[in-house]
Amino acid sequence: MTGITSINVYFPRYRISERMINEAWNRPGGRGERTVGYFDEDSLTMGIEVANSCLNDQDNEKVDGLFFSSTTYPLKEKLNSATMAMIMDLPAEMRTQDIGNSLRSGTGALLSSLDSVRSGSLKRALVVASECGRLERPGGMNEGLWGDGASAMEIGQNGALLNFQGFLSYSDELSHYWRRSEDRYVQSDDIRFPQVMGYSRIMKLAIDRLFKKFNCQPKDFAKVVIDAPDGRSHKGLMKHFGFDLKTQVQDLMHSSIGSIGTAHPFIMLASALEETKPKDKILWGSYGEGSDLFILEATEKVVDYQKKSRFKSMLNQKEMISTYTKYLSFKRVLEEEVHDYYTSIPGMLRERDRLSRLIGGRCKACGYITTLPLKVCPECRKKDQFENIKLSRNGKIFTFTQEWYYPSPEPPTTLAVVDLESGGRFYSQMTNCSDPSIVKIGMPVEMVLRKYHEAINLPHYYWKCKPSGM
Amino acid sequence: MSFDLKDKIAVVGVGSTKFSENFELSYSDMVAEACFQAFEEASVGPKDIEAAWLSTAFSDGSAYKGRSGMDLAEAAGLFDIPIARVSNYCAAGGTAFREACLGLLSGAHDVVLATGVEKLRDRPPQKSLVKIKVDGQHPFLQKGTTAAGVFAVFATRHMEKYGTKIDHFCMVSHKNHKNGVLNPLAQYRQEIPLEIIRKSPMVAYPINVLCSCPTTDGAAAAVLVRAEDAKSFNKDYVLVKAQELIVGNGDDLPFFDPRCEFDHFSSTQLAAQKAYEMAGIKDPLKEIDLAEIHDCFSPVELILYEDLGFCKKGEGKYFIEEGRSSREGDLPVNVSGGLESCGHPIGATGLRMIYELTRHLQGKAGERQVKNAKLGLAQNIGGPCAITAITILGAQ
Repeated sequence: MTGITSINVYFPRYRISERMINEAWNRPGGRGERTVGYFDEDSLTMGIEVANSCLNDQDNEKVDGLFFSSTTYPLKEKLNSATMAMIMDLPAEMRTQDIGNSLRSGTGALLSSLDSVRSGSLKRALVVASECGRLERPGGMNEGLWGDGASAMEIGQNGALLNFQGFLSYSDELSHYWRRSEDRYVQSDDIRFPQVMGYSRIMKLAIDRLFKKFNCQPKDFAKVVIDAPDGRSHKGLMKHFGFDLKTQVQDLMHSSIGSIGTAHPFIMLASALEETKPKDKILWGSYGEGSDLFILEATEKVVDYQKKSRFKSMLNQKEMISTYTKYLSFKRVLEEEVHDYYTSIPGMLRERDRLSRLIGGRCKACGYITTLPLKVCPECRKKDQFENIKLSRNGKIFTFTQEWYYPSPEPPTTLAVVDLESGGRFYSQMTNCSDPSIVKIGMPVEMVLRKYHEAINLPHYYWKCKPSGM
Repeated sequence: MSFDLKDKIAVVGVGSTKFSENFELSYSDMVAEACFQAFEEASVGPKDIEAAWLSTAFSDGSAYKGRSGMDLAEAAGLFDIPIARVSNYCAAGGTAFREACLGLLSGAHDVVLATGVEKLRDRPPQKSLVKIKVDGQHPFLQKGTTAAGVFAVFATRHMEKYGTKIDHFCMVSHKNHKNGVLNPLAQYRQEIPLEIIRKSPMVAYPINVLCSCPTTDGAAAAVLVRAEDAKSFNKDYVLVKAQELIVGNGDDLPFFDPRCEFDHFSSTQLAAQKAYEMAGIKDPLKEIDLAEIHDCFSPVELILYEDLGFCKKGEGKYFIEEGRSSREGDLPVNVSGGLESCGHPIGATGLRMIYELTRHLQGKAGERQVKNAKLGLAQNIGGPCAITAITILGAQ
């Protein structure tokens, strides 16, 4: 039976407190904190990280669909999911689709992938929902509302941890939040009107229809996992249907991570699964110009899921940003020095195995391992003997430096020579390390994909190391 | 096949501009200045030069001059002869000198010129050398490094392995700046207290700003002939005892090569071994009277003490600590003030070292003269431990 066979979340390391944002504008109070993507992260890097974690412990059935949803794609024109698939080294015979630009697009992408897998046209599909840099104008009233993060789920024919028992899509146009093509910041108008005539009205109508269609009622559900633009509207809706706030209703998590756009319903679902028992029914839904609603049922596999889940560690591995200025700088709101970085699109195509995919080369003649796009082996000096090998993403620092004059929103830029566990040596920038004094020879690190620069206005992704567990 | 240069080639004239922020001189002005000084000492004119080599490491950083031999032709009036531009990172000057030696040794030419020049200060430092590393180069590989970082990873490893301290690097800088006071051609002629060097801000850990050479303009030149012809050009000539050039690695390779130990410069070790053999040197510490070596960043000089065989591996820290490389020490190193005082116009530095050795071997180095200097060594290292040029000159 087609269902959700895997789900994972990704939260960036950094957090800002709402109080810090408010203090910057002489406003009192502020509750909790928001996730903040580092300056080298975007929805694509986060999406890759979380999608890879879905693939890790899986059987070797091939993925043949990748659906990527976001309102903050790095590129407006160009298939972002194709870049993801290339970097993840997914098979070339594969459906890649960007289904985005609405807070409801994540669940929309899920519905498309579900139809494809159910019909048999796809066997195993990944749905990635990721947001980074969905911002309000600095000083705006909602500036402290939004966070960055990603979630991915895998839809497969066997071994689901959640089965679909029903779904309903409801479309109802309403201007709650929006951005024009040229807008950097999220726009909105009235606060109360969209709460009352948007969220409350639409969700009531949609849930009523779902209940009627599948002949169910509020007490049938162990968990109610419904996204909402704000806590007050959420609570109002839950009360309207008589869901028990303590036992049934999944917390919005706005005070621990913020609202993470199209990824948010997925993240809430992953959070709910931490407490879900086999056979539990879940009412799950998104909101945005209508709603997508799902009736899910947990299987025995949810127990295994809970054992392996990284949700809590993701949530707890964090570092508070020390200043509001740094936050603006991470989010690239402050004007940056202009750089004319050299690049070559033909070069990137030629070198994409070694550089974009981090696939090593082992010399068939002498066994020497390289991470560079070399033709001639430096050890035995034979030509064209390198065969592709999988490299470990974990290693240890052999030596390093810290560059204070390389342009960065958070100098110094640490560069480390890393010996990978699989053999092979890599040299790259370090990320997720705001305290240069912790870097030492021998320190364990992991390789992660990050954005290096935007030569020719094109995001350039390459590998960085980060301290293990950070 | 090996060849022998020993005592076959003579330097009959050298010239050097001031190494400084030469805002009043263009690339071509500096070329003319250095070449005509060398011409004068060698009693030749531009028309007597039969072949020439022009060393500029980064034409993009040098006001887009130095892309070819044409920029030497125009600047020094050398028309209708073979001229080539050579580029070999910081070893470019040594490479031009080598090509000039080989041009004579082959018998193809009788009077040749090696010139080095770099014009970096027509733009702010961030827009010349730093820009080449930050903006230029491969879109990913080594992205994030500046020139200091290239050497800094060696320094970090050396510290870990041999217990060398940042303080030892600061001592190198202190010595070199003290030496620079006596050199009228140096950019910085000021002794800097050790305490200030220690406290100067980091450029690329563990290298701080006063352990780094500045961004500088300069040009230097040498006229060479075969030894048997030398007397008719200049009675006060000096002899080439050895010249070696080794490219030991690639630009990206060392950082990604599991074999690289990052505690020594293999190209320098090999070049030194071969150069000592050619010059017949058995104990460099005892036999060499002065050395001009590549202190682009202080840790490099310290590691070079070891790789050039002045001391054992890992004992560079004692060599500086005990003052053995000071003016009064066993083997005075960088009595010119080194790259740290003179600056480092990349393509010119190798020939500036030839200039320095020549003046000492002639006994004409003024206040900074090393007494009874008979044998001098010049060494440059360019790229990540990749390219080493070593020239050994001797008095007649």
